[in-house]
Amino acid sequence: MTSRWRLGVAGCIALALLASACSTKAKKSGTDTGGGGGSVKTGPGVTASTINLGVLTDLSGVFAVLGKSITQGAQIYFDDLNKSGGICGRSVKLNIKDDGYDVQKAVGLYADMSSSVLGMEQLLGSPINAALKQNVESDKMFTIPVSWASTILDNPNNMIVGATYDLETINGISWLMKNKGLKSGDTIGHIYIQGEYGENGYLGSQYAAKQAGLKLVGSQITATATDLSSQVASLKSKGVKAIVLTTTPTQTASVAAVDAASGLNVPLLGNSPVFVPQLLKTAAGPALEKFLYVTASWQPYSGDSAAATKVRDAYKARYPKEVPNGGVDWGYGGALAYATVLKKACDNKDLTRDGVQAAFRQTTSVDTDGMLPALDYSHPGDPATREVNIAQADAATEGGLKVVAPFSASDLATSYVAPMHGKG
Amino acid sequence: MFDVLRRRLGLVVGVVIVVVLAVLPLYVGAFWLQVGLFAFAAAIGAIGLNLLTGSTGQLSLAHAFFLAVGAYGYSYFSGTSTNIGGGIIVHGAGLPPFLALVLAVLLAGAAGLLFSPIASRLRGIYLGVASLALVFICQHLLLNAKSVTGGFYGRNAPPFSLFGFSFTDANPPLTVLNVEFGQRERLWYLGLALLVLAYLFARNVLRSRPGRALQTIRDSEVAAAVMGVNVRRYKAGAFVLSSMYAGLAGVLIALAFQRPVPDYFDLRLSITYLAMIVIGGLGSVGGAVAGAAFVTALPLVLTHYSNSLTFLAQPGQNGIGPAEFSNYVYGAAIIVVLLVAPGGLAGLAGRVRGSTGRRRRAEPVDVVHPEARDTDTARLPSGSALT
Amino acid sequence: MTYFGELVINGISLGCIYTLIALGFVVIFKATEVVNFAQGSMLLLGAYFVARTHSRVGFVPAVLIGIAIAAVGALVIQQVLSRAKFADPITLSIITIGVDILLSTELTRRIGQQVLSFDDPWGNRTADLGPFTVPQARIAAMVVAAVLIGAFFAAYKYSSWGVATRATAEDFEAAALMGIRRNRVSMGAWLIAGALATVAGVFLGTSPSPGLNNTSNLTALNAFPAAVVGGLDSTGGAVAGGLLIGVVQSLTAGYNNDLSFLGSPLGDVSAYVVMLAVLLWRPSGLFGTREVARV
Repeated sequence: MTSRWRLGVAGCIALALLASACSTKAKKSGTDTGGGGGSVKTGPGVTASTINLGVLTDLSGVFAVLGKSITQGAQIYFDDLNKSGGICGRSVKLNIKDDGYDVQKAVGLYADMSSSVLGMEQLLGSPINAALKQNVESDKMFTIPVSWASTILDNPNNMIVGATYDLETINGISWLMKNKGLKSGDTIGHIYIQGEYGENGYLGSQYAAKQAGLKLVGSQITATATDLSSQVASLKSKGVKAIVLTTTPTQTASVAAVDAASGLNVPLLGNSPVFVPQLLKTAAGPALEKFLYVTASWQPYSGDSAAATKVRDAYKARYPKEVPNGGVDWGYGGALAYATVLKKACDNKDLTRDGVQAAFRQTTSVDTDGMLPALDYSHPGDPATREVNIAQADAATEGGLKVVAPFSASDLATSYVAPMHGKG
Repeated sequence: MFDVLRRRLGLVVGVVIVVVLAVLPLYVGAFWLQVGLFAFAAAIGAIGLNLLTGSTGQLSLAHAFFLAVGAYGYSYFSGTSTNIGGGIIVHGAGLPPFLALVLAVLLAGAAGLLFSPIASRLRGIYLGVASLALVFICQHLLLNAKSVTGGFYGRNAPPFSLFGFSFTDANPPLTVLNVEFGQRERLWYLGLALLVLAYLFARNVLRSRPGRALQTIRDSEVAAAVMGVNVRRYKAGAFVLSSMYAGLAGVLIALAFQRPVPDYFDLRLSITYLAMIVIGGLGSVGGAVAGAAFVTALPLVLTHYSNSLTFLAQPGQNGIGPAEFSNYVYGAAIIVVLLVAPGGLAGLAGRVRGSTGRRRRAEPVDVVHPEARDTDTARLPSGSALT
Repeated sequence: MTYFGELVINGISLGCIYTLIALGFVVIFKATEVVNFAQGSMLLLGAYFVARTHSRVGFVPAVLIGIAIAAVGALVIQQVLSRAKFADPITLSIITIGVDILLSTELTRRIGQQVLSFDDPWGNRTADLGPFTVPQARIAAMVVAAVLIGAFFAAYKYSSWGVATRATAEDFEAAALMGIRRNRVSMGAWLIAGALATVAGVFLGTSPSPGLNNTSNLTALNAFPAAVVGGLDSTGGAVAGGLLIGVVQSLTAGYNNDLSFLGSPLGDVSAYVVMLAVLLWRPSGLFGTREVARV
C-alpha cells in the first residue's frame, strides 16, 4: 500500500514538473495580439493586413435559412469592401462557425474564437445571446445580435441593426388604424411565441392598444406548435378585427389558412421574422397574399433602393440556384453598419475593443444606401431607428414581399419609451 | 513492479488519466478548457444516470429535469435580487456559493424523492415513458417561474468561491508555473476534483451491499424481493442518488455556462445522457465517464476542425455538417453497442485487459462462460441488460 | 357554448390523428413489448415521400408509395431489433431511440426549411357540422381513422394474424409450440405501424397545418401520452387516449387566458400532466392489463 502511494505521488510530481517545463501556454500573454500597424492601436483579431470578425450562426438547425442568407448578404458586402481597400488598409475576414442553434455548442465555439476576433459580426439566436451575455460583456465583444428585442439594448456591446420588435408592432397597429379600418374600441388579438422575440412584440401591442383605446387579447404558444385552430377560434370568439403575429413562418401560414377557412377574414400583421417566401407555395399561399402584412425596418429583396438593387445583382450572380429572402438584404445592411463603426474606430486610430465601443457611441448616423432608415447609435438604451416599412405577401414578386408603405414612424412609435431607455 | 501494474491496471490507468487532466490547463486554450468543463459536468451526470438505468434497470428520460434543478437551484441560492432585463426581476437567497452548491444537490435529491413514489409504482417501460412527462413539465416551469429562473433569458450563475478564493479571472490573480489561471482554469480543477469524488463514491456504492441489491433488482425484482431486498426503498434510493448526482452536474453546468438558459434542459439533453451511458456501457461507472467525454466532445471537436475535415459540409453548404454527423454517430453507436457489444466502451476495455492478462498467465480458458472472467469493472450484462 | 363545442370538435379531430399514431405504438407493443420511440421518424419518413412524389403521380398513389416506403423502413427496424438475441424489451426500446436519432436527423436535414404540402383533395375547404366549421381534411381524418380502427378490431378478433398476435402476447412460448412464428407476428405488427404512421403524417400536414416541416415529428411526440393514457397494450385504449388527449389540449389552449395562473402555453404540457395523473391512478394506463407478479 505505501509503496504504491509513494510510486503514485512520485509519478505525479515528476510528470507535473516535466509538463510545466514544456508548457507553451506560459508564454502567452493572453491580451493584445495586435501588431500595431502604423500608428493605429490594435486589439485581438487585428493584424497588419487583416481584421478578423466572428460569425456564430445557425447553418444547420431551425434557423438555417435565415442564418445562411444573412451570412451571404454580409459576405457580399465585405467582398466589395475588401476590393475597394478594406478598412485602415486591412481586409476584413469573417470567421464563420455553425452552432446549429445549440446553446452548449455556441458557448464552446465562442470560447474558441473569442481571443482571435475583434468583434462578433453576427450572433444568431435568442437563447444563445442570452447564454453568452456574460461573456460578451466581460470580453467587451462588439456584437450584432440577430435579434431585434428592445430588452437587450442595455448591453453596450450590442448593435441592433434596425428598429425593435415592439416598435414594429406599434407602427404596424398605427398603419392598420390608418389604412385598414381599425378604430378605437375594436378588439385585436396577438399570437406570440414564448421567449424574448414573442414577448417583445407583445410589449409593443400592449402599448399601442392602451394608447389607442383598443382591446388586446394575447395568446401565447410554443415555438413548435403548428395547429393554431384553437387559438384562432379563441380570438374569433372575442370578435377581433385584426391579429398581430409574432410567430415562426410555419405558424404564420397556419393562422392565415385558418383565418380564411373559418370565415374570420381579418388582416394579419406580422413582425419581420414571420415570413419566408417558401410559404407562398403551400396551400396557405392565397390566404397569405390576401391577409398578411409584414413590418420590417429594412427593405425586402424586391426593394427599390440602390443597396437592394446591388444586392440582387450580386446574389443572382453568386447564388443563381438559391431562393432569396429578406435576410440577404438585412445581412448586407448589418455588415455595412458594422463597417461604418469600424471605419470610425480607424479614424480615431484605435482598433481595440475599447476603441470600437467608443466609436460605436459616436456613430450618430449610419447611411445604408437606402437599405434601412438612418441609424443613430448615440443614445444608449434607445433603438437606432423607429421607422418601418409595410410589405404585403405577393407570389409574383421576387422574394415574395412587395412594399406597400415606405419607411416611416407613426406618432405612437415616436412617443414610445423603450424599456431600456437611458441604460447601457 | 510490473506485477503490481498488471494486477492493478485499472488503478494505474485511472491515476495516469487524473494526472494528465491535472496538467492539461497548463497547455490548452480556452476552447479545450470549455469543452473539458462541459465534459466533467456531463460525466458526473452520466454516473448518476448509470446508477439508475445501468445498475438498477430503471429507464429514466427525466435526467434533464434534475440537471435543471441543480443549475437553477445553485443560481437561486447563491444569487441576489437582480433586474435581468425585459422587466423581469429574479430573486435569490444570497448564500455563500459552497452552501448554495450543497443545497442545490439536496434540492435535486428532494425532487428525486418526490418523484420516486410514482417511479416505484410503474413497471419497466412505463417508467421511461412517464419520465418524459417530467421533462416537458420542467420546460414549462423553467419558462414560467420567472422570478426564480429568469424565464426565457435564464439568469446569471454567480461565480463559485471557496474560503475566500474565488473562481473568477482575477480575484485573486493567480499564476501557476508561469501560466495565468483564469476562470476556466480554476473551474477545471473544481470539476476534476468533483468528478474524482463522484467516481469513487459511485464505485464504492456499487461494490457494497446496496450496490449488489440494486443490481439484483435490475436482474429480477421478484428474485430480489424473495431474497429480502426492500425493492421499493432501494428503487427510491437509486432515484434519489441519481438525482443528486444530476444536481451536482447541474451546478457545474451552471458554472460552465455562467448563464444557464432553459432552452438547454430539454428532451434532447436527456436522450444525450442516455446515449452517454449506453455507449460507455450500462452498469459501468468508468464507462459512463468515457461515454460522457466522447458524446460531449465529439460535436465540438468536429466543428472546431470542420475546416480541415473535408468530408463534412462547410458552413453554409448543403450536405452533412458536423452537427448531423455527430448525431449519426450517436444513433449508430447506440444501435451497434446494444446489438453487438452490450458492454459498450467498458466492455471493450475489459476484453482488452482480459486478453493481455491471459497471455501472461497459462490459465485454462473457461469455455462454457467466457464472459465470466472479468469481475473487476462492470458486470457485463450477458444479453439481459435490464428487466 | 358554441365556443366550447368548437374546441371539443377541434380536439376530437386532432385526437383522431393522435389515435392513428398511438395505434402504431400499441400494435408494436402488443406484439413485441417494445415501445417504438422511432414512431415519429417513421411518420416523417412516409409523409416525406408522399410529399416528394405527389406532383408526379397524384395524391392517392403518392400516399400508397409513402405507406410502402414507411412499411419497408419499419421492417428494416424490426429486422435490426430481431438481431439482438435474448435482449429484453427495454434494451430494444433504447435501440429504437438510436434509430429515431438517425432517422429524424436525416429527414429533418432533407426537409430543411421547406414546408411541404401534399396537394390533397380537401385543400383549405371547410364543411359545416351544425353550428361548427371544420376543415374537410379533418373530417376525412376522422373517417379514415374510424375505418382503420374498425378494420383493426375486426382483424384482431377474426383474422389468423390477429389470433396469432393475441396468442403471442399471452404466452409466446406456448404460441411458438403451437406453430406460431413469432417473427411473422412481429413483422406484421411493424408493417402495420409504419402504414399507420404514414397516414397520420399525411393528415398532420393537411389543413389547418400549412404542411410537413422539420418539426412535424415533434407533434408526433404528443401521441405518446395518448398511447400511455389508454394503456400501451390496448387498442381500445389508444382510441380513448387519443381522443382524450386531443380534447384536453384543445380545451387548455382555448381557455389558456382564463387559466393563465398556471402559466402559458398550456396546450402541450397539459397532455403530459394528464398522463402522469392517469399513471398515478392506474399504473398501466386506463385500459392496459395490470401486471401481476406472484412471489
